Amino acid sequence: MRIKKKFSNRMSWSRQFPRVCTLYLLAFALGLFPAGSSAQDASSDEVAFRRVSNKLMCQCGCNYMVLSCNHVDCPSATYIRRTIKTSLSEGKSDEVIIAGFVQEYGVRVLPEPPREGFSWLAWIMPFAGLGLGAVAVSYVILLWKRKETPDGQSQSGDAEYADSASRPEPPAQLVEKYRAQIDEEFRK
Amino acid sequence: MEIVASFSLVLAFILAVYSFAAALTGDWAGKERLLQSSYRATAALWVLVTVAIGFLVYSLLTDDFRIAAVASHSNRALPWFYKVTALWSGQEGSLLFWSWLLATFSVVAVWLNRQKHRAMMPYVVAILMVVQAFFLLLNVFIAPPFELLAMSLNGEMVVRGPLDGNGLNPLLQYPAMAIHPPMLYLGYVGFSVPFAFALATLITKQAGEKWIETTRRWTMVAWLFLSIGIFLGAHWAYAVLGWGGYWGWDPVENASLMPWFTGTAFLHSVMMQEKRGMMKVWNMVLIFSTFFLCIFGTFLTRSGIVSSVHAFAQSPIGPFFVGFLGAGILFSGWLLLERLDYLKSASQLDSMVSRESSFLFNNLLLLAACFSVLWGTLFPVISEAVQDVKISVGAPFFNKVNIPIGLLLLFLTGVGPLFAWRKTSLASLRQNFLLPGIISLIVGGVLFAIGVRDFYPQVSFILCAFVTMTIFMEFFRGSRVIAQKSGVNLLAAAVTLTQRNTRRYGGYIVHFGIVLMFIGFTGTAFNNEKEQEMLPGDKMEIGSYTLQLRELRMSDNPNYSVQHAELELYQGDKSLGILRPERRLYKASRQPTTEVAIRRRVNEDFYLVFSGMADDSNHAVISAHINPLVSWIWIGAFIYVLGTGVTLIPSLSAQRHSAHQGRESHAHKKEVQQQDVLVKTVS
Repeated sequence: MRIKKKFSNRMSWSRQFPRVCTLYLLAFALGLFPAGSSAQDASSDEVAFRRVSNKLMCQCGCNYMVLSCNHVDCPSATYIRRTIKTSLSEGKSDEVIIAGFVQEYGVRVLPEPPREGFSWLAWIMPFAGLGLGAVAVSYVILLWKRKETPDGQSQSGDAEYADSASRPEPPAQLVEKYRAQIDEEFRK
Repeated sequence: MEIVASFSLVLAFILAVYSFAAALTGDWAGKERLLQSSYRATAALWVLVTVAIGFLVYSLLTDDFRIAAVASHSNRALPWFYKVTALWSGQEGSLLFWSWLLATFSVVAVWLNRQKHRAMMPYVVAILMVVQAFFLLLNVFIAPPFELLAMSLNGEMVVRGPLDGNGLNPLLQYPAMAIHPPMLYLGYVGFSVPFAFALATLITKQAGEKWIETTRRWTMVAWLFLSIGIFLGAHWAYAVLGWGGYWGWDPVENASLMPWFTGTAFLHSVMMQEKRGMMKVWNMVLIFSTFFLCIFGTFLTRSGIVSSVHAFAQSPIGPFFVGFLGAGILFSGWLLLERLDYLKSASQLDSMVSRESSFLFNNLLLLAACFSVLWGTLFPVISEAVQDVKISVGAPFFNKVNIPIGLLLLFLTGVGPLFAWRKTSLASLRQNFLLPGIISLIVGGVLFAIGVRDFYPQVSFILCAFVTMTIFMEFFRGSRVIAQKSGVNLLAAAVTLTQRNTRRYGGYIVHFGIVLMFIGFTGTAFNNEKEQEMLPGDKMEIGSYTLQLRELRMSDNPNYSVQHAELELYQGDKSLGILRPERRLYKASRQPTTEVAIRRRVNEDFYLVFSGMADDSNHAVISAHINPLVSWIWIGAFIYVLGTGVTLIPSLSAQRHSAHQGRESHAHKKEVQQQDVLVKTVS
């Protein structure tokens, strides 16, 4: 009885699990949970400055964003930061400020390859590689799953198990014959 | 003395060529003495390279500025510890260090395996010596470490060094940085040995699994060192570079990550070859890729092909590396194609839902991550070559591409180990995943409720909870059985369980370390930063903290002068202590740096940078960062290293098995001896 009860509990959990998942995802999608507090408390000017300076690469060769450039007294980061602050105080939008820097330095001031022309390749290739790899792996799995047997019959692993299970036992007289042979060998 | 050291290197190069030729000739002609001579040449080569590197270290410690490498990378005021580390800060020294590590690894590999793998060893030695000869060639002809400085005196050129050296790059004067390059190099060089065994296996057509059995520990150790090198590098970036982060997707950082991806893929897929005889070709491809990516990493660091904050030494050695890489890849690729028939694998999959399938997808994701990093790193060079337009590929690109791949990998980290080999039943899936699934969803719900709404952080935390639960349950189930049988407590049972299968449970510990690191990575999504110009007495509000600048002062020592800022941190009215960020000016190099001050806690770090003085020279520019959960990265890294260490310990069952085999073979030997005596008596 106890086993049965335990089993039925487990069954109910396993039945409930997909429902819980669905409900959770629905709630997630609809945003039913109450909102929490934001960690950001900086003023709007500073938020704008951080936002813009985090969209531009420092030109000193450090490979960091202007906001993150760690070089002490870096002429590039200092100049760009100052220009951003001035532009923001003049009421310029993020796009206008960034466009100004692109005009000044070229697209290398942007931290990402632009989504145009040849640079599209930068974005496409990693995902194309992943997609092609996924297709290749799926193909390999299917190929291995339907591995041809030497006699040319398609056979899956499961079928092989089933086959070995259904394979007839060797005849008893053959078993006895081999046992006798082994005993004879041992006596020598 | 420097002539002796230089001559040692020339002699070592000649010995590498001799050892290569003697190993091959000895094997082809069947001359054992020539083979032995080739093996001994590797030991002699080690002695010679040790003499050279020993002399360079001695020169650094004794401030022998006549030697250009010493004058360029050291100075009198440098502490002795950093004088030693100046060895690998320059081009010449780092290449010499590479050579010395490889020579050491070669001697150990030859010593341990010359009797066990007699057919394979001549080729292993030959391959290792080719790599060795390449690095020695660079040291002898392109970047000689003992070049002397000369100056004109009364119209005559005389050997004379400056009174003091240029000093070590200030960014490298940090304890973690002192051991970060050797660790990376140990990883890079360590992969040469499995590479040599894999190639020798192909050449000699040895049994498929032999090289894997032999090199498993080598691969694990090399992978461990590479991982430690990456962690230390991340820690250095966090504590020294002063931008508030630990991974900037810099080309040189990426260069160390790429062989890690392929090495990790290899460590997983190799299990398929061991257990099922599958993926023999693929494993060869992975170990070849790992080795060549290690060489590529060294090339990227040293050649200056891409601009990097880490490129501490650059010279025209690029073409030599490209040539070596090209020749190596062509030869390995040709040999692999030539031996495809011999590498035929068992290729039958019993079920789609199996450990084998999960390993295939694990390999796919690791390789996709590697490719995206390689592609992003090289794309600026490709773009400039193709369209003559300079572009940048920075952190935002790498994050966008790699975060989804990373999360999928994290998911597989939880799911993969719980799939059975061959086939996983539905009942087993339910039993293994129901509880972790429910708990991770509860975690997700709680996080959502407290305001964690962004997609990636949500998914990451849910997956971290899921993987943690699957690992915990694996330990719990096994430990409970042992505890019930032997009457010990669960903790002791877990230790016994791990001892019985160190590879499996050590692997789980490594996975748990990775989960903790992911928790730390996810914390980045909640970073908070603020910069303010402050006078003594001024306050800055950030998050729930208040920061007050107490004083600014100067100090001086022989190596650098320092500008200190002293700030008191408050939460509400409660003082949390004093933080002292600094700005240093290194006298020898005239290079300014910042020294951050960090208040570390498990929930968040308070990270403070004294960025400089404002234009009026009175205000200090203070940059404050609140970095949640960063400590979990270092804790996770520690557990990861611990877990890898566990996997390197032989399992208790394997020890017993070998002891049992030893006893059996002893008994067998005794029996044979008795039979011999009987036969002699009868005759």
